[in-house]
Amino acid sequence: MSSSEAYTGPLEEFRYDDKITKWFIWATLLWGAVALFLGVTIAFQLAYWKLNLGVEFTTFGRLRPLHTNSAIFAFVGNAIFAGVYYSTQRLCKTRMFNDILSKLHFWGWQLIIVAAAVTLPLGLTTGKEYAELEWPIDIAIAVIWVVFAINFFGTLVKRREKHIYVALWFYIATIVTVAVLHIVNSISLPVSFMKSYPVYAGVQDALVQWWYGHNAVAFFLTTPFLGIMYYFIPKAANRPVYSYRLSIIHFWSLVFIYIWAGPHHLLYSATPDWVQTLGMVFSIMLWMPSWGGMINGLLTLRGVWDKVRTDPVLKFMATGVTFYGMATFEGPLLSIKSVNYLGHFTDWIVGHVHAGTIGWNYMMISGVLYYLVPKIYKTKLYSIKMATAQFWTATIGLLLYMMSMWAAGITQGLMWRAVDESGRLVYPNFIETVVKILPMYWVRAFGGVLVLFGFIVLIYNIYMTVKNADNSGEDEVYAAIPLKELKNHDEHESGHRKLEGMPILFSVLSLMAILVGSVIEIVPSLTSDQFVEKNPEIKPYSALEIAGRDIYIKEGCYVCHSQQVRPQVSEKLRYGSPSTAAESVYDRPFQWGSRRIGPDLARLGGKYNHMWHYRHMLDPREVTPKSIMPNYGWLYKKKTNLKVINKKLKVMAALGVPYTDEQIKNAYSDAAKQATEITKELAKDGVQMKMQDKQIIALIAYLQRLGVDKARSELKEMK
Amino acid sequence: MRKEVFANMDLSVLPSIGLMCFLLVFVGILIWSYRRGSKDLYEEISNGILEKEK
Repeated sequence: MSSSEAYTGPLEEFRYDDKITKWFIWATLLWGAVALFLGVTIAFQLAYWKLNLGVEFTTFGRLRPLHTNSAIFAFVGNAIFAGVYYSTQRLCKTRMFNDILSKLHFWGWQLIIVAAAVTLPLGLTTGKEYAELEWPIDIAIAVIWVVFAINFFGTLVKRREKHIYVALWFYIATIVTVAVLHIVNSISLPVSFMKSYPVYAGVQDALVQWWYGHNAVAFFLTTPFLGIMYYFIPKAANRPVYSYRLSIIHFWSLVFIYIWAGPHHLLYSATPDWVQTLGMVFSIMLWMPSWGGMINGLLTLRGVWDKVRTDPVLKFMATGVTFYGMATFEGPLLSIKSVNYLGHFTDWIVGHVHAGTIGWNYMMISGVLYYLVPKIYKTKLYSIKMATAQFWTATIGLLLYMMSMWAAGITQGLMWRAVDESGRLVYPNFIETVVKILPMYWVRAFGGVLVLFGFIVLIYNIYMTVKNADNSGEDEVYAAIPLKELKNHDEHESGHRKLEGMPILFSVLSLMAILVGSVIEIVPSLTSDQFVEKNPEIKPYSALEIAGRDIYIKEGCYVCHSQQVRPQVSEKLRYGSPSTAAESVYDRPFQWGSRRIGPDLARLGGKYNHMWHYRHMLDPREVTPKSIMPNYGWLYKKKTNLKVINKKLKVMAALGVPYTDEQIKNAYSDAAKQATEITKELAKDGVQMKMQDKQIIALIAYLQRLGVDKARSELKEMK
Repeated sequence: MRKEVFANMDLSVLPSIGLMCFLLVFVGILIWSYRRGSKDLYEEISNGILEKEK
């Protein structure tokens, strides 16, 4: 007999706080529309470069981080909170720990989103993918996340249910791991209010960043939704989860394995082979728990498959879980080194990412919204037909997106590495490989429009549902057995159940599971010299090059250009010698990139003269016909900000870059001197000397430095 | 001291250590989840969330 059946004493009455869930639902709808609109916008920009509009705030390099941040943290983030706040209260049979913390969490998170929406188009960015927000916003994220954590764990402590259901484990893992990832990856030294440099450099920064980046996918886009899956699918289907035992194995395996997989983003890079092997092997092992979870989710629908045809909640969730299975099949596949060599830096990865975010997150969010809104507004969904229409437009849109990106990615990957019988590149001109895939960019953009259109239909459907609801009634009162009575009645528990009754111990064990992989992968890179070979020819950047590098980061050049030549024949033929760890030793942040919409730039220095760069940045098509890169006209009007250049070098020196006191003291005059030299060269071709203080000059200084030290070092070795 | 240890250590052994760690955790969870009496408990838990809220 269960404890609740044995208890005959008085019940405690309480009300759920559904107001906070409603707020997060409306925020999900708002930011979902914004994120998808931005996605469609940048998709069209790639298909037709003129849509960059020639304005600095609307270029692809600045809008792409805004799209990714708004999709992950604004759209998906608010949806997670809506699902977590609703289900946690019901699973714990209690109201949230503190209403003020709930409100603080909501408004704090929205403020962070607004701060991101303002700063990213202004080019205020750290230059680290999915962690672009500058240090004051990072601190705000940490504070608000702690507020959320206190509220969540406080709720667990005051719950009236002895058992912590599997969905809550996934929420615990999410909260604990995201906090660790965000804090460790964001540690930086500020230069000014909106500028900082990371404490990590080169290989270390790459490892920490992709440990963070991959696990942002794992613990922000995946684990909270698995929790949501384990709560909402059984509720919507009115069926218990297929196998609770499998959910235990699923949870611990997933949490333990996921954290190791980050280095699969760095295959064939300058990171040590053992790190790459580790990332690849654990990524392949992820097949096991990912598919275990998918099977558990889908088989929960056994016996109610007929409802999947008619019930929009189950329709979206079953599709979401199916796409989860597809995306988590494709991920490990892409982590196999030889497959990764073809897929990495191409649109195949972009297609894979969207199979996850649209196929899994968007579909699950739609299902959750169709479940939640009628429930908490105590009404029926306005139109099932509209929900079905949204389902089909979104599904067709996603399929167009994925298939076009597969075709584009595999086509371009094969073209990059095609070598003829005489050992020469078949497509030596990079732009040939871009022009070839442009039709696929149009198909992708059209697919995106369908996904966005579907979401607008969802918004209207939800709006009409709420409008037609009777909102006059009071919140319902519920009753449950107090927790201490449950404890008294169930003294002789053992095993996992006892563990689940202790949320703090459970959280500590989850933390340990993620720390094992994190420590083994990252600590050696921070403490060992083995990662970076010594090369005295690699020198720190000059003051002007630092200023130029910051412009490179500000314009988001890293979203289209890599700086990492892989040790393969076709890469060497196209770009030059493979990248080494020593070359990035002063790179804060590292700029290896993850996509080559344009060519790799690691060996760019000295390849062209200053005038080529000057003309290229003004209008790329002047030197590269058919280029899809935007024009950067404002770099020729705006002055390089050298006011804080001394401080920048001082901060770099504090982080370990060997600048002398004299270099720091003379940073301004040294930068001005180098700018004059570059402008004098340009003046021979008619450029006016008054251009010397403009941003384009600093950017040229940086671009002309890329790979130069490495080339000098090779030359010395040959002698 | 720490630097010396890392400098002389063969780091390529770490993937094997990682795999062993996971194997131990996985086998541990498997044995744990199949412990005696767990079946009834899991049934009770998974049916629990479907109970009508009072």
